[in-house]
Amino acid sequence: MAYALQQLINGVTLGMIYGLIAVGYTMVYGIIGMINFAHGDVFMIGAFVSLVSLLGLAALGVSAVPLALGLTLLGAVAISALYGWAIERLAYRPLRGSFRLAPLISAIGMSIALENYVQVVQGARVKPLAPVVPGGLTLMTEGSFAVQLGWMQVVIVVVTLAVLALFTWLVTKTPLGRAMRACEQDLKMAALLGIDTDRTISLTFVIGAALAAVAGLLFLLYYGSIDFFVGFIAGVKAFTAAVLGGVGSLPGAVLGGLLIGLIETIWSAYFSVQYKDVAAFSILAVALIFMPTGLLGRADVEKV
Amino acid sequence: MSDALLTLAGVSTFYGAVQALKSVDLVVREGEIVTLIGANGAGKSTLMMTICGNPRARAGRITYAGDDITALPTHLIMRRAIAHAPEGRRIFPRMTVRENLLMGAQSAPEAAGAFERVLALFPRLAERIGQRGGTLSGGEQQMLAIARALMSRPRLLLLDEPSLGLAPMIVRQIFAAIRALNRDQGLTVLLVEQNAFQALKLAHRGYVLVNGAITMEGSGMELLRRPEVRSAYLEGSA
Repeated sequence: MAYALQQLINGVTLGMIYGLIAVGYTMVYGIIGMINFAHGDVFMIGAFVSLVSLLGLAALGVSAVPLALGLTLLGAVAISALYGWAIERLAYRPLRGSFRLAPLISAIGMSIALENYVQVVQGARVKPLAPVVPGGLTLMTEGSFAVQLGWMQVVIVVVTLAVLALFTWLVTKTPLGRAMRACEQDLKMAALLGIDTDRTISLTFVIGAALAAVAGLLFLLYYGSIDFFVGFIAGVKAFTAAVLGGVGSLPGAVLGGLLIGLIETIWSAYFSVQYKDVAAFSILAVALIFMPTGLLGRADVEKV
Repeated sequence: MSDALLTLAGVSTFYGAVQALKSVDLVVREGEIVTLIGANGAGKSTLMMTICGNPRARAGRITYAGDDITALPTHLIMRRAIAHAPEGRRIFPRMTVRENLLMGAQSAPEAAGAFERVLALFPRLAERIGQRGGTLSGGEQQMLAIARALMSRPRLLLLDEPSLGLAPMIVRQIFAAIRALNRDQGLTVLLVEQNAFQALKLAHRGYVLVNGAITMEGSGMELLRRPEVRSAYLEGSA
């Protein structure tokens, strides 16, 4: 019982991070109908910028943790957003209107380029970070097993929920969000209403990248170590989460992220850590056989 | 002519190698209702979309309010008080009626009061204001498409087959609304219709498009009396 509760806490924490990345995949898919294969690497960039920023601030003598984290968050979001914008500009926009596979290939190229760039600049070894938010609560003890809720886990859940709330408000209530949804539903009509569709697509990449940067910072703080390849693995997981939730659906991305996080954690706890990815992807495969549009995806039928 | 609001001079449009418009000359003067009639596939919708810059004219010049708009990107053309209610309505199915209307005013600087105005014109939409566009009936969707186009307070309204698939009573309502907007607010309208009889009765002037080329032009009444127009487009529809 206590062990299960602990796995639930760990799974939700991990799932939140996957959910944040998955939202970026699903947003871009919604608006241009293509998967941004470089998205996982934006997450990795976010994690690296966070690492450099935290170490730099520590070296400068900024000892207040909330201040350091706040500044790091802003810096990581700003720089990653710039990367997101550049990816769209370089790998997608010049190929708009060309055959469908072309931007997919250029995005994969972009992903490889980013990974190798970080490998060259930062080195290939794993980069450690001492715990920034240590400690936690002991929720209950059962025999010799104590259920721990780390402060870091609380921070991850609270930050993720706050970011998702802000993002939901942006998409549902603001003119920019409305323009994004209009472009998603009918790009040509949006242009006929005076919407600058190129700019809206750019902003979609930028917002997705900003969310990935938040996830990158949280991932770094949670695991305390990153390398240039984290974006690939987390990216594939988050992509799986987006597909499981129903690609194109924003709540679906978060739900899918939570499920993948839980499946992975619970499988590792009760069966074997080595096969956790097999478990996650098998469940995805089975789910898609019975629900091809994902959990919250919509079948493409509209009344005409 | 100094009072021409929209002028097409020698406009040709291609889809790949296929020529859809062949050197079209057309003038819409301020305050006019001009209709474009022609068979299916004659290029009527292509002509409307070419004015909006998508597809772009490969030859010729499009002038609006004295400015050459031929090479402008679509969204910048549409920000010049031109509105288009295109073929197939193209409302946003997963947005509410209210959001669909707001999209119409999104890029217009002076949209104050537009909401009340269009809802007064189409009271049916006020009843459906919170409903998703995709759940509306065909007639309601058509009203929504026109209302959305009017939200930006356009000077020139492009209307592509507003009567398509609608019950005769709703068609009469829509045509009455167009006439009222033209008479009371001086709205200039370029109307594409397959219902040639009604369109020619409503319009000040008309053009006949055959295989991408203009073959006839004249006042609405004049065209109505032409035997070749009658036999090609009016038999059985009056």
